[in-house]
Amino acid sequence: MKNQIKFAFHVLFHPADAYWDMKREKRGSLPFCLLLLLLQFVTMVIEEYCVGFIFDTSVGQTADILFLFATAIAPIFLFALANLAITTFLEGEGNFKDIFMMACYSLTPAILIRVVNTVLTNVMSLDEKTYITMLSTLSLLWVLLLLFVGIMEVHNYSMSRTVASAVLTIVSMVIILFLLLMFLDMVSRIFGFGYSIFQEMQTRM
Amino acid sequence: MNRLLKRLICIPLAALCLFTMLSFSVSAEGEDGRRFVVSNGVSDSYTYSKVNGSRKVVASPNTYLPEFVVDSASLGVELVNPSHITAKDDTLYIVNTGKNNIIITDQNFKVIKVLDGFMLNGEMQTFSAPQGCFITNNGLLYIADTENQRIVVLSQDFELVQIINTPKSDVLAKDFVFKPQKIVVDTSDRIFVVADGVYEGIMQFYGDGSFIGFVGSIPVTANPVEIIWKKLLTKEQTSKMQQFVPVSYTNIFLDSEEFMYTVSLSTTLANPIRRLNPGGADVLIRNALVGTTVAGDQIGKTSQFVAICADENNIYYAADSVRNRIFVYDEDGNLLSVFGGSFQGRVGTYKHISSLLLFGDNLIVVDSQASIITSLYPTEYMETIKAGLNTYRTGKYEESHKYWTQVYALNSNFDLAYSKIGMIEIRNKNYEKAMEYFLLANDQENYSTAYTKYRTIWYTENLSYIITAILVVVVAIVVINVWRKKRVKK
Repeated sequence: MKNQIKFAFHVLFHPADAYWDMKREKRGSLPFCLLLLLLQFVTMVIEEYCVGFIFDTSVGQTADILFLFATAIAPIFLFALANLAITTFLEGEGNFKDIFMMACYSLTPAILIRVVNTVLTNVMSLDEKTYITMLSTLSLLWVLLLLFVGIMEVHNYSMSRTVASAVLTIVSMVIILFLLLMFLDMVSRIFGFGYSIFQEMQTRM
Repeated sequence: MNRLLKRLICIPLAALCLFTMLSFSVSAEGEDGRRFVVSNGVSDSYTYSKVNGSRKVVASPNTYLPEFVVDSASLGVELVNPSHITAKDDTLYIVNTGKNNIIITDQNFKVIKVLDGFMLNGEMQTFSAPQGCFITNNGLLYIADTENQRIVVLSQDFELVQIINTPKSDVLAKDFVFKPQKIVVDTSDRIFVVADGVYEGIMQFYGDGSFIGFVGSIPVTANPVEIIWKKLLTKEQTSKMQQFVPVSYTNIFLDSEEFMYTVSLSTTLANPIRRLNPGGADVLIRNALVGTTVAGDQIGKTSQFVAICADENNIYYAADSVRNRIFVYDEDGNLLSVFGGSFQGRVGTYKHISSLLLFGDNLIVVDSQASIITSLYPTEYMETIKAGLNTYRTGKYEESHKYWTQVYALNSNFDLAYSKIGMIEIRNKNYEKAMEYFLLANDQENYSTAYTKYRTIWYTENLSYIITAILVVVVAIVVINVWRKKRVKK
């Protein structure tokens, strides 16, 4: 466990090295990745409940745990799926497990900074909002950087190929979301159609 | 004996009559032109509250309730499409558009005079669908004689003083048709006129009737996307698009500080309610504590304001013609209440509000389509809000605190009450208390202010402990390190 945590921090500061080791020398573990994903969800819940009143953007609103769960977990799977689909065509070396683990490890800065930010929102006033925005921007950039380096190392890509696959990954994520929404819409329509037939039958017979 | 019998029959009969009259919503018909009504007590007032950054409708206790109505029957004079009401001291002037006259009544709506016209060169001149009038402090009566395309100025004895006809100016089109609708005159005798079909702003005249120009022109704001579309599309297509015409003013009110409250038909871009200084600049404060904006209803169709009035404490009332509701705002732009509604056959609902007037404590609402004038009285709740605002405004914070406490006792959903108490607590340097109230009001900005103060005090009070704690930690680390090194050596 101690080694695992050490490795997660290793990812933070030496992503290229760490992701190479993860793929080629079997460092890092899937259970720990799942733990990270869980931590992502847990810190989001903590943030929702413990954020200082001054910085609360959902004053008077009830928290939706299921929605939080989805926003914590779904993007990672979506990314892994889209990236796998793209890199299969672009001669990537990583399999689904590699990509998934890479994505999970990339969440570490977001998790850490979220905890720090939640504490800070309770002591800071609106005048010091800049620090909090700065930190959250930092966490976003860090995560994106880790993902970028991750794609490069896991698939053993050159820089230009990484850029191309990153862009294509984003595009395919959008396409997957679109298809998913369309599918859901269609299912609900089919269900509605069936239901109206049922209603018709019920009232006529 | 006979007399006694009569009395025995008459008294219960009279009581019965009275009882039946009271049980209807409209009670005894006064001789003074008023018909008192018994309000049903159903609240249709509401405000908006900030929830999750957006606005939510929150029901509130009644703020204004109908006290009496005035119509043709109660006045004894035919009232058809009245479009304006104004007052000076105890005299009321009702512009009776449909009958081309001005009805002058006392404070009880007892008709004193019906003004049909005036004498010009020995000939009787009549009005034609007048839509507005204004009475100055020295008693001059200005009448917007709309269909005759002129403004008529009459003296106290209703003798003609002056007629202002269609102005001639380079800024006006050659075929300009002057249809004055609403009119106000300031103490330096400048005349401000809202005229039909004028988009440039409010027309301004000198006291002698010469045209000065326009004030309060509403800037035309074009959406950049639309400009690009206009470049791309053909002429036929653009002609079908909505044009960037500036909005036109619909009503005007001169307040006690000689500033003009104006309302205009709103697009989503322009501010529908403005307060113009004599130079024509909008000086309305839009600094609401809690998430309300001075724009009427914030959900659904945009409100279109057609009437406005204000009291000496800058609490203003604006009537929306889309839903026939009256919006009450305070000086800072906080929404105090919304009430009224489209006509449902009961008193307190309107077909088309054309004019508002504060007369004593009452709010007088002129409904031009139903030809009914309704007088509303403020409820205890509204009186308390007003008292709270006025005492706060004049710096009597202790008193104000008392009133606001009463307000939230009457309506615990009214964010402004908590916010105001919070402000008072900040003044009293009770920052922790202030934070509590701002929390209740969902007022993050002011909470932050109070919190900053509270934090500073907390630091200074506990500085000794904080420094001691830091010292203890540092010493402990040093000691542990030394101890470890010793152990390693051993």
